[in-house]
Amino acid sequence: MTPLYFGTGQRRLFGVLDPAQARSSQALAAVICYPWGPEYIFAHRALRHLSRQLAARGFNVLRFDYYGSGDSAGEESEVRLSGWREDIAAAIEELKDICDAKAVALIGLRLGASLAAEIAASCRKDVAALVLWDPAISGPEHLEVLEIEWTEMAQRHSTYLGHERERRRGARYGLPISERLAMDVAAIDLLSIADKLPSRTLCLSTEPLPSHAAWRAALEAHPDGPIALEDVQDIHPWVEADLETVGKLPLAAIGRITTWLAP
Amino acid sequence: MNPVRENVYTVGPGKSLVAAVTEPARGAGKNAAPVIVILNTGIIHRVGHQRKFVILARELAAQGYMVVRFDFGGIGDSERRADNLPALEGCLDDIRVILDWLEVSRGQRRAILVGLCSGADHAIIYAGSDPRVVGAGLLDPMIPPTRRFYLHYILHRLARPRSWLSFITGNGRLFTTVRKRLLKPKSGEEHAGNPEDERVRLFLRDVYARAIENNVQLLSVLTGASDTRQSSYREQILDAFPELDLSPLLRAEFFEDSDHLFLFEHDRKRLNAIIIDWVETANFREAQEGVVATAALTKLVRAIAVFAGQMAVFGGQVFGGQLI
Repeated sequence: MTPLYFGTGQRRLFGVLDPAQARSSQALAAVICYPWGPEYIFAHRALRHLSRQLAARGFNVLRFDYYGSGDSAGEESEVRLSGWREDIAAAIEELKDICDAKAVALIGLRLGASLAAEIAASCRKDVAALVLWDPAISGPEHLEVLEIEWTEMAQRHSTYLGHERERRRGARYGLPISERLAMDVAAIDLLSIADKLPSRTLCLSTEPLPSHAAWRAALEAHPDGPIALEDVQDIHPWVEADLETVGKLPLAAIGRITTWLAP
Repeated sequence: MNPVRENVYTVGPGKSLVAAVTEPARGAGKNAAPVIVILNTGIIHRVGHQRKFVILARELAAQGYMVVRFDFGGIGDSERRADNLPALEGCLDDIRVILDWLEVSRGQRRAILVGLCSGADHAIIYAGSDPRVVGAGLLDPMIPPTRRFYLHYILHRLARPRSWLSFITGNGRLFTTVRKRLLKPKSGEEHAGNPEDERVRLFLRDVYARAIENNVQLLSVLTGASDTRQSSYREQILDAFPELDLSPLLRAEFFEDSDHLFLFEHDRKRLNAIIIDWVETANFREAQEGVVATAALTKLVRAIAVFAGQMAVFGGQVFGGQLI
């Protein structure tokens, strides 16, 4: 495990590299894209585990914090999704540089999966495989789900309705999220790019959503042949654990991703 | 805000602990100010819920302080410990490793520990064992209930129709508390991490007594709108330990409307302002010459082991949790 900074002086990004623990005939590389907002902090542990599992199977893995999130530079209030797409591109270049790889696998969870899908669909030749783990398919739907998750969390922790007061002040999820960023998220529409996804795409779902019927149909109509939307029974690592799930990892989803990428 | 710089290091045996250092831009630091070390909240990594510890670190660094946020072994990005130390002892040893590293690599001989929830508990438990610790910022630490707390609690509950329904149907904490009082379990049956347990109170009393002995400045921030419902007024920490004279070393604050995790931005802004003011104004003692931490730490770890041995069940916010 090697923590590092990369990116530019103005846009310094924090990442953790898990170097390959097994030898491979060619350099294997994977970039992991975190979820956003309150989901980020809870998903960290599961994505660390995924990263180490992939490293054990011969991948060099880089997971990183977008600008204005986690340990990276910047404030939440400055964030735009266009910048985060550039951050993913910078992470791909950084990892290719570090391990002398020609291409990477791009793995994303929730909003991170949506951004990864957009990057992979943008005609990049160096995304050899794409893993979408419970992606945000429709922006408005994702914002609605986040609002529900946040309200449940706030009500669980607070005996007062502080979240109502916060909402009146224009904040979201306890974070200083700008209206521009919320509009960026609302504009996400994976259905419109489904036909441009790489043919080597794995899409996992642990949570049924209203958008899934259209998403499944769009994946099946992929020009290079149908892409399956695989349903996996597992916990949701992006929400706060309860007494039943505390300390648990989503081993079924992680196992499926690792065996799919490194059979 | 004054410019700050951030770097990340791997520290300790096997370089297994990941530590992020936030400090003033070159030449802007306060001379000889203590370093501030922020501890994990449960199994949440060093960034903290709502990125609270990153923002706090940057605000403190902008005021001239060096701040270290690190992950305990097995948490966040840090590697699991190679030994089989129990979780609590492992965390205490990790704090020592970080303070050793700061002393050797940065010449920092004074430290202020800051933590929320289990992080606060780790901070106060460690604070009395190491002469380098001159301050402990305790954000919603484990705190025993007092008579005044129970009075607040019961009055609050009596005013809520839902509480009556819970009581009549045999559910809810009020009923459980009454039942527990009437049917006191035999020794060892209660949860050791439960602050209502007198043995836990005595353990914590001894921990605070050691911190007093070590002349550690204390900041206690309690919340009143927390799901944990363990505090209801500012002076509860004083009333919980009437045998101790905490007042000369203590600054106590109470956030009546805040939840335990300070999830809302306005609460975090107020919290950061209080922490910065405390760090700027508290009378932190000078470094102690020629005192070695390890002997005190060994003594403390032995005391914890004895305490653990007395407990049939060793759980709760500070003691439990699989740190994997």
